[in-house]
Amino acid sequence: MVITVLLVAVCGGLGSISRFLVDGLVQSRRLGEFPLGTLVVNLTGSFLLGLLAGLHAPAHTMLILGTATVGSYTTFSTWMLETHRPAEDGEHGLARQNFAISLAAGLAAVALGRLIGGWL
Amino acid sequence: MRQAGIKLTTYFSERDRSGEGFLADALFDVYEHHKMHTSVLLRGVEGFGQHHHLQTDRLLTLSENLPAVSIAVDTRERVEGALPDILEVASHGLISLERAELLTGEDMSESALPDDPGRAIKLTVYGGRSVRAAGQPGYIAAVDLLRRSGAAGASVLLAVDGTLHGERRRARFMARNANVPLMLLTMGDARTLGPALPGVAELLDDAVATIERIQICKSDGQTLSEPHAIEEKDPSGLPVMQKLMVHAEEQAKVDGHPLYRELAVRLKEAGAAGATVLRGIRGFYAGHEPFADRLLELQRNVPVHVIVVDTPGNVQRWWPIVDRATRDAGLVTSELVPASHAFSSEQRVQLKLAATPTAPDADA
Repeated sequence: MVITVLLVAVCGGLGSISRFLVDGLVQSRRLGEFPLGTLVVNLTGSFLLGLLAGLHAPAHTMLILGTATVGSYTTFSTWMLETHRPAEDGEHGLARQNFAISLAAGLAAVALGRLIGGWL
Repeated sequence: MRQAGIKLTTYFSERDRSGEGFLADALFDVYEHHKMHTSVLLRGVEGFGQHHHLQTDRLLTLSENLPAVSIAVDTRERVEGALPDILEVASHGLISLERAELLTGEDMSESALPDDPGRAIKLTVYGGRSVRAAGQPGYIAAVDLLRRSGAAGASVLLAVDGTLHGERRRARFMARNANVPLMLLTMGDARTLGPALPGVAELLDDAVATIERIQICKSDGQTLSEPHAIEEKDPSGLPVMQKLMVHAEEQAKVDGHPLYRELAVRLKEAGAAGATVLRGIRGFYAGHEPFADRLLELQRNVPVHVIVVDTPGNVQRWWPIVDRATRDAGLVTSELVPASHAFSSEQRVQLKLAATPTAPDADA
């Protein structure tokens, strides 16, 4: 149990460091309106979690890689915050786009991950 | 007392450090130590500087190091006395000195404003937030009063740290913070602002006011006068800078995007050295209904201010960008900045006030 909690802590830490780096890298390259950094993180994370599910990973692997690593890599709260802020500024088009694209592409990424995981 | 004073402004980033701690804390420790009469720390919502990406509170990743602005006002002697300590802790961003007349206590009367009744001025009133009028915070009545008296515009900004009458007043997380200063700035002329001044002063506790000369360039899409082309140096060779400020409501749009955002992005693309966006809590301009947030409403409509400080030559270059962004909305003002220093440059810190044609006679 202690080992598991330590592994969750370490892998969760690695997941959030990866998000910090990937999101920062994407955002530093552009000046656009769309929160692309968060989208990239959430889509790659969704694909990875789909892949793990498709591979029928053992429960312990799923806990460490899925819940801890991918779970702390992706971010639901940032997606919500970055949808709410443009809506506050009256940019409803941008808010709707961010909501719809993340949702649709996220589901597609999970499905693709599961499909590929099933083949492997 | 009414006296010639200096307004010292620093533009930096929230996470800039000074020694062991944050620059913002170090600066206000200096202001407290020197009993700086009035000072406020304002948190920006968007902006960029010479070595910064465009930071914005619209994206979580880009809101980790938002701009901050500190303003300190006192007599020339006291500001100059504190300056060595300020320069000791400040090593980031931009620092500027501007001339301002300082009004306290009994002097906040109608006759305190300059004799030249038609000349555009900016009146800034600093004070605590605890006064209430008709069951509402005093600043709401103050903004309404200024609107009724015909001011060109006004806005209220909340500080998170500061001093009033030399006493430190710092905001704490999850507290009422009624003592922490707010800043009410209003633009107009002595005819419109003078009669409102005593009433406004009563609506903020321990109020202190400053008067600065400005030029009102645009209001509500109408050009009143393009920013004056100024000499880059005064007769003795000291550099002069120019400050443009755009005051608009958060919902003001250009090509479907928020005006403040569009302006910051375009200025950054054009190569401006920096821009800072501040957000207030209540304001108006050009006689419009005051704008502020309403309960349970998704869209915010608080005042936003975009501030650009640059050389007079560059201000002329950025003017078409500002002009375009404010084609339908906003109040645009221009001011002279007689002394400034950008810390990213290698040159020696030189903060001597240049002579400016609009300087008050007292210290010209």
